[in-house]
Amino acid sequence: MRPCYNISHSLRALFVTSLIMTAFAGAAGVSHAAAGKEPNCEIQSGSCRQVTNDGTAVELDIQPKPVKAMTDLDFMITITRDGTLLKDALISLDLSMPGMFMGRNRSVLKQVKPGLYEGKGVVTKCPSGRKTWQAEVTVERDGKTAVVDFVFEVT
Amino acid sequence: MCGPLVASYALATPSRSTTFSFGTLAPHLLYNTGRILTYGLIGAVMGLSGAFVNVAGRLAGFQNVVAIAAGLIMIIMGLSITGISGSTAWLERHNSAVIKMAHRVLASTSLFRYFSLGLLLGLLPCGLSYTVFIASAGTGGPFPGMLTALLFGLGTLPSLLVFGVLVTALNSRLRNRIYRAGGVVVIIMGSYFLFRGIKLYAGL
Repeated sequence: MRPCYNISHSLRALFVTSLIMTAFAGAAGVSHAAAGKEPNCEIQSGSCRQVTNDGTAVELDIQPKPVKAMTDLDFMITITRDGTLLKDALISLDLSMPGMFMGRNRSVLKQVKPGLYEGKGVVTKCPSGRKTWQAEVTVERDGKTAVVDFVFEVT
Repeated sequence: MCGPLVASYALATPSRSTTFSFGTLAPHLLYNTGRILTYGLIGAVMGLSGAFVNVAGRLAGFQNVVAIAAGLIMIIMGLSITGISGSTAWLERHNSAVIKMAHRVLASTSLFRYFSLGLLLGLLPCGLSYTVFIASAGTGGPFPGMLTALLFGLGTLPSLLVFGVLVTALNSRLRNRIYRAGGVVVIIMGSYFLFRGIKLYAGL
């Protein structure tokens, strides 16, 4: 008497289903794993500030909030050096994803008021689902260069 | 992200030659030509509109479906490679135009199916290509926008071409030993792509 189902086909189907489920589970784990740097900036709740060794204070704010990927964003940087607003500096802001090369995404900010520089940019979306981004701010003036990294989460 | 896709179709391609010949090269040249052409077209639209976010927003829904289709394509190719299943007829019943298009590409025996595959999979959402399209949007015109994207695509060509040709040539030499194992790997990678595609589609 022939069996009413084919054992070989059932085993194959089970094998393929197991592979696919394992891959799904692995993918879920990978996309939640932290890669590289931990956030040091709660940009969703306000601005962030860092001070370099030479006394340059860099404050970053991003509007509008919540800060989302794939939307036009306004970047505002306030720079002080030794307590004085730093005028006429060359400010560039590089957006990148820690641990994943996404190409160069640079905004050059223009001075709108002494010490306040603004520019526009876009945080792109990564199909991996990761939402941790880094804004590397470079401040150049009088032959001095200061670099600070703001690592934050987007929605 | 491009590497696993290239490996998938390269393993699924019956190798006609054990040497580096036009027969080995043709599928990869056609696939990459299609892919780079899609980049150029998107770059032109970005340059014409001058607004990356608006255009990317309109493309997003379609790209998310392509991401799911890419995962399915890879799983189907993997199933075919391992000999578990070769038929793709069930795809034709799917409502999505992208999935039906993918089926026609998989079921075709013409060499130009690789060109069609490249055209389609050039739409896959990719962080690196988004950055390039931002640059294209900033050029202020369709021709410079297209050129920016085409040059990016050409920059990716050597590594993907070499990788694809190596996989095809390797396949021909170690057909019995690596072929089925490669199919299993392709199924796993395709599942990962499908998972990511579903996440994107669901907006997670």
